[in-house]
Amino acid sequence: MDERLQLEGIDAGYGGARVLEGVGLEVGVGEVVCLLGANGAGKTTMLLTIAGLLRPSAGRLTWAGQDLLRVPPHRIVEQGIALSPEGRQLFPNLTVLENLQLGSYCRHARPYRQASLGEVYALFPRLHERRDQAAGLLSGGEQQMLAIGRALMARPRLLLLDEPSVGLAPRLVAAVFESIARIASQGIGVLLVEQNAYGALAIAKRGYVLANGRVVTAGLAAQLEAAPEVQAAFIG
Amino acid sequence: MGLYVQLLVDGLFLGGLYTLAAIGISLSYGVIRIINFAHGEFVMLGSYAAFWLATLYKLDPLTSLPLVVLGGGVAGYLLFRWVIRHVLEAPHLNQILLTFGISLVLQNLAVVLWTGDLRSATSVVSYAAAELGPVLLTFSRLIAFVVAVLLVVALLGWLKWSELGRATRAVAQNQQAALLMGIPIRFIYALSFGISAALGAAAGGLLSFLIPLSPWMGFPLVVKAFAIVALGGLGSVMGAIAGAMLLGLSETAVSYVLPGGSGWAEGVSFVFLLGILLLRPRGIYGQALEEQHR
Repeated sequence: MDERLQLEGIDAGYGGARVLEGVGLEVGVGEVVCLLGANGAGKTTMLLTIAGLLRPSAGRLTWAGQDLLRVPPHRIVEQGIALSPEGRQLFPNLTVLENLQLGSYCRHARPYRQASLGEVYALFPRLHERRDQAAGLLSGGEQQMLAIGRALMARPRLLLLDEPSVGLAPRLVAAVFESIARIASQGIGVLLVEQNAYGALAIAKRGYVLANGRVVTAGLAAQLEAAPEVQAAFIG
Repeated sequence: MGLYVQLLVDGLFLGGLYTLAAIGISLSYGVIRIINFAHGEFVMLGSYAAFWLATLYKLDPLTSLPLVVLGGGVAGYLLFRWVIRHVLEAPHLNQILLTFGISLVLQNLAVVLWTGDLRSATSVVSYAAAELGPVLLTFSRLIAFVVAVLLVVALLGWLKWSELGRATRAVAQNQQAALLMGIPIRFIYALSFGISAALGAAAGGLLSFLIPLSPWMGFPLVVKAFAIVALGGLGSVMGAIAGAMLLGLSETAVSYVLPGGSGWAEGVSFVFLLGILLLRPRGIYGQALEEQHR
């Protein structure tokens, strides 16, 4: 089965306000695809739509050939798509370990909980050191590791990351991007939403640029780095 | 000296029962964000269930307690699935009116079915007591306290260590993130409401051999329970325990110290409610669950 995420002609928004218009996108096995664009371009909306938290008003959304449009969010995790949301959305009063355990709540991931924990701790040894701390007491970088680790606990085939580098010190940003590249090297598809365009393009294979709810440019990461739309979106 | 020890013991016993009566309100508010004004009627129905099981089937209220708890849990779960579920997205006022309406319906249903006569059940422990130095231990209150503590500890343990309990705490802190974990939120809601009702019914089962029963017994209890959860911070389970102990001890102290005190004791909860609303609206523990909720 080809585990490929495909969006075609997606319209989505909040209430009456349409944010995405006719958006199309694809992510394949083990590839990092980045989604760039200025604030308010619709990047987060796109991820929420894929995760099932937002219902598109038109378009097609399929995963491994299966229609996802009417699947409730808690079932989408079971299909192998995990979102590490904007603002991390941890459970602040729960410990690091409890947050990770909750990441593997869904049926297909629970039997592998111990193995997944080992893998996440190997990727982020810091989380192992702080496993009994309340998540709310972690530093920004540690919280970001926990948000990614928690999503990985669901043993996803596709990982959606919403601005994992936001608010982190430059040294930590590099570490986070490096771990994303390692995750993809294990065969997990990654759809990466980023403000840090050049950091994202450095680890991505392909990318899309959103502006005002539409895809304005798409292509290989190397081409996008020089594209005027990317410059415009972030410098202009 | 003896008086103070007695006061402490009696206050503690009362606090234990109050904890059991109030903790359900705290749980359903903490997880579902619904303030359940019908909680007192779960207590009342638990009492009547224990009374009728004792009267018709000669079951001791302590023996029938598991049945009463189970029945309360199932009833709460179904009430949520059939009724409460429909107002989850509604304004708070609608939710309050709905649970208040349910409370009135249940009270009057009890009057229709069982009349307004006062009733009471007796347990094997009802007439037993022991003197321990200067302190008189009434066995019925002691046993009720022990059972209440066991149930509260069971709830806390379930929340802390079980898969579903952990998921319940996650839902209380961040619903959207819980959804992303694959936690079926609606089921967790119904389960929490069921457990909340089960705990209320358990309090009722224990009260059946301690106080006279009537269809209206739930209302003063729910007022006290609100004082308790307001005192402890709405939605905080630990806060509810602290609040219940404080109320139990204060009421007992008032009834011991003031002349005609047992009448005045009934007013203590109102003083607390008013005081806390004026001085520290978030409660003693406050915001524990609320802060991160969206």
